[in-house]
Amino acid sequence: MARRAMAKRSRRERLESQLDRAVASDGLEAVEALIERSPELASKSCLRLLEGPPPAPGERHRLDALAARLAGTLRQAGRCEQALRVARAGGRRTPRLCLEEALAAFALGDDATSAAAARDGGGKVEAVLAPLLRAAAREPVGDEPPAGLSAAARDLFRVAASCARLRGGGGERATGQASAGGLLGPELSAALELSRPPPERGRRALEALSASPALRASPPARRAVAAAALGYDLGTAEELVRLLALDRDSAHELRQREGARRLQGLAGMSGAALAERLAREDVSPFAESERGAAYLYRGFGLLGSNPAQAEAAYDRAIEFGADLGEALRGKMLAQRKRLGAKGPPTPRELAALGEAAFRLHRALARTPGAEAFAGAAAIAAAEPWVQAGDRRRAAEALGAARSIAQRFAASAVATQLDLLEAELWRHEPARALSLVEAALARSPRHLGAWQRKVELLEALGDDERLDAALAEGAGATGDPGLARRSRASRRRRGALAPFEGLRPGVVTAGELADEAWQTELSPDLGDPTAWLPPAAWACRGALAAEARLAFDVATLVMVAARAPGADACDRFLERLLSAWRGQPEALGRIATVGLRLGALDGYTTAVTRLAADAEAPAAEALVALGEAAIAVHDDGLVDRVVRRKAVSKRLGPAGVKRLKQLAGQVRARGCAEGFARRHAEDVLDEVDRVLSPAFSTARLQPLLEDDDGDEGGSPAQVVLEMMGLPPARVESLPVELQDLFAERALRILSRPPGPAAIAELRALLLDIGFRPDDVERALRGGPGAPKRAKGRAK
Amino acid sequence: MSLRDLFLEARKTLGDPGEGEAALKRAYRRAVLAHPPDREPEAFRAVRDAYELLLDPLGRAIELLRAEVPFAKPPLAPPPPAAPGPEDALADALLRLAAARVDAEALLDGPAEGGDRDE
Repeated sequence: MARRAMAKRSRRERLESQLDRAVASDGLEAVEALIERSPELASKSCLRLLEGPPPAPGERHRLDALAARLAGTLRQAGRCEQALRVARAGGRRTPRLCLEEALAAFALGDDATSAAAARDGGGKVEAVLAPLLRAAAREPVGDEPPAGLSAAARDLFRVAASCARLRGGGGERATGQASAGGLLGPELSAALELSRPPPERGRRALEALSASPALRASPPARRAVAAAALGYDLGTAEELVRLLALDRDSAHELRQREGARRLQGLAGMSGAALAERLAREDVSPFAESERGAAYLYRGFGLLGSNPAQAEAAYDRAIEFGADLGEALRGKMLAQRKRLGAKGPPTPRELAALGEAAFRLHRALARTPGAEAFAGAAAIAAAEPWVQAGDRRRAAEALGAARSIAQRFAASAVATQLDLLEAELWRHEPARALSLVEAALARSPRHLGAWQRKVELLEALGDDERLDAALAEGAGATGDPGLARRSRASRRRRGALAPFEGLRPGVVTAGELADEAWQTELSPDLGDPTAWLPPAAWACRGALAAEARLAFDVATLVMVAARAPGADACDRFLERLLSAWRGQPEALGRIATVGLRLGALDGYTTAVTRLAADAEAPAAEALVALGEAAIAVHDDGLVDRVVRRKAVSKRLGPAGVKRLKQLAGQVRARGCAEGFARRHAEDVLDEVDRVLSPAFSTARLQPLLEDDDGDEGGSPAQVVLEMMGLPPARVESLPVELQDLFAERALRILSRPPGPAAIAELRALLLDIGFRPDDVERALRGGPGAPKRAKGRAK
Repeated sequence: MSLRDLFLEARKTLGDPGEGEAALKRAYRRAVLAHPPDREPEAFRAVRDAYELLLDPLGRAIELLRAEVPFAKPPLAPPPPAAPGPEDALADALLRLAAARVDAEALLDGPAEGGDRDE
């Protein structure tokens, strides 16, 4: 590269020295010969001649003519500065030199020089320049050119007149002035079209202008076209930069102009709305004095969506002298937002947040009148440092916060600081406990403080004080969680009998369910009255219907969880269904959950009893129970139930038809019109909502899961699993055969056990390829006693 | 307005109450009477916010410090793009371009014969 530059320079130097020699020997002829080949070199030589000793009188005339010609060539090639220099060096000796100087100066925007040169050029030159100068000065140009002008001067007049009208918004009239064949005729026509609706017309004009060779050669003209097109909304700044091939400075100017236009709409906006808007805008069009505040607002606007960019915006705000407190607050919030964005916060992230907050604290502590905010910032710094276990920094921040809190006599904040410090010393429970005690002495009803005290006493293993704290905390705060734990603790110690102290009408369904769950197992879980003491039933009876139903469903789940595989769940379900027999909606919910828990026998017995109960509104109740069976996908069960004479009689033909249709539709399409299939999980969710926060059936879920950890499988696989046979055996069968096997097996299994059922089952299992000894082993468990598929109904 | 100004503003809103809680409450009552909530809800909200800030400065400061909204004075919108307007700049550019491109020799020729040859 360096060699090439050197070679280039040498060539240039060689040319210049050749030229010097040529000018020295041949004079004007040498310059004249160079005008077309190298106007630049020609202008240098010409300037030397013009600025050198005066030539002979005959030569002067030739030199002036040469200078004028050279200036014209340079001007028309777009080198107006050089043209002006050459023309000016001619000392306005001839009208032509004056004209060249006037035109070059005018092209460069120097109207005063242009006017002076035109004046010195005499009447003709002045007449040529006058319309241009008038149009530039926003003075009227007139409609017709004065007499005596050449054709080219008349053309120039028309350009001036058109531009004057364009400038004055008189485009309509100016159209007539622009001549397609004249100087800049197509460009002027297109310029006049730019602002005319519809926008397609303007866009066509813009394309014509962008294709004009005259405009392409003139960066200022292209810049002006771009600005005009932006003003008429004919494109975005980026589109115009591309279309008009703007240089870097012009592109920047256009973007600034576009930004400034957009930002005009922000006047009167403030707060979050302005911040959100500035998050999407380039703030560089703001005045420098306002840019700091603009970056600040931009930062707050970006905080939610892009904390990293927000932080960068706050840094720029600081650079531009924005409010330091606000900028540092923003940086702290950005750090906070980034905290844990990719999982649990790391010690490094916590340290960075603490650092950002403490920097804010220091800045605010130096600001008169911002003491409260300085205290708040110190607390904000202490929190992550405590979490990170940085005792030294946390203690520093806590100390700063404490001294400010004392000045404000802010007891709530002092309590908060005690608890924070207790958290800092969590690995030394005794020390932490003394801080919590101090917090409680100041704020005896502070739930967080009581909870922390309980945790610390648990860590210390001090059961006696723990019980006392739980009781005292529950009393002071009225918190159900503490009350529950207090009861549980007292119950464990035998200081409280089951359900003791629970008052009917006061205790909630959730609290009652929680107490029931903690009650010792009864010998007869299937009998609710035997299981729960009268006090519990009194409380249950005082519950509203929805809460009572939720409690009953929860107790059903408890029985299933406590006595897996036993028939207690069947009997409990039967009793519950009997108890709710007058309310079909409740029956449906209970049955859905009962079937989900596998209590098929309880369900069947309840249905039969209900059909025989002359007082119950049997038809609606039986439909609800049938729907529950359909909801858990047990169509076979529906068929069996409906086939019973007593049931079908109470259902009536319409009820039977409805259930059969429903079962058919659900089997075929998975849904049926007017039937919202309620899953057991939905019912349990509703129940948990009622019982919340004291109890949730979800916590019993693990006890209801299958022991073998089976997570699903086809019905055929589930049947085999129930029988203790490897479910993988049916995988090789076609799906239709698997379904057929499952249907036949379930039909046999749902019948009372007996030799006929065993024989049918044996044949079925041998049919699908099990070895005889495996089949016999499975059958020894008896088809009537398969392993219960807990937690699911098939 | 900076964080510090929030307190100054609050004091101003309540008519610069004296020191102590009693004085603050008196000032609040006066301000509420001057700006009843049913007639001047916006002004009343400002009064209430000011009172809460001054009643528990540290507690409110903790909340405000975490508010994700700016309290600083909003920036002044940039001035509208300076004149000349789009037509003006374009006309000017075309005028200068015409001067740059015109054939000067033809300009000083004799008058056109038969008037305007373009017409």
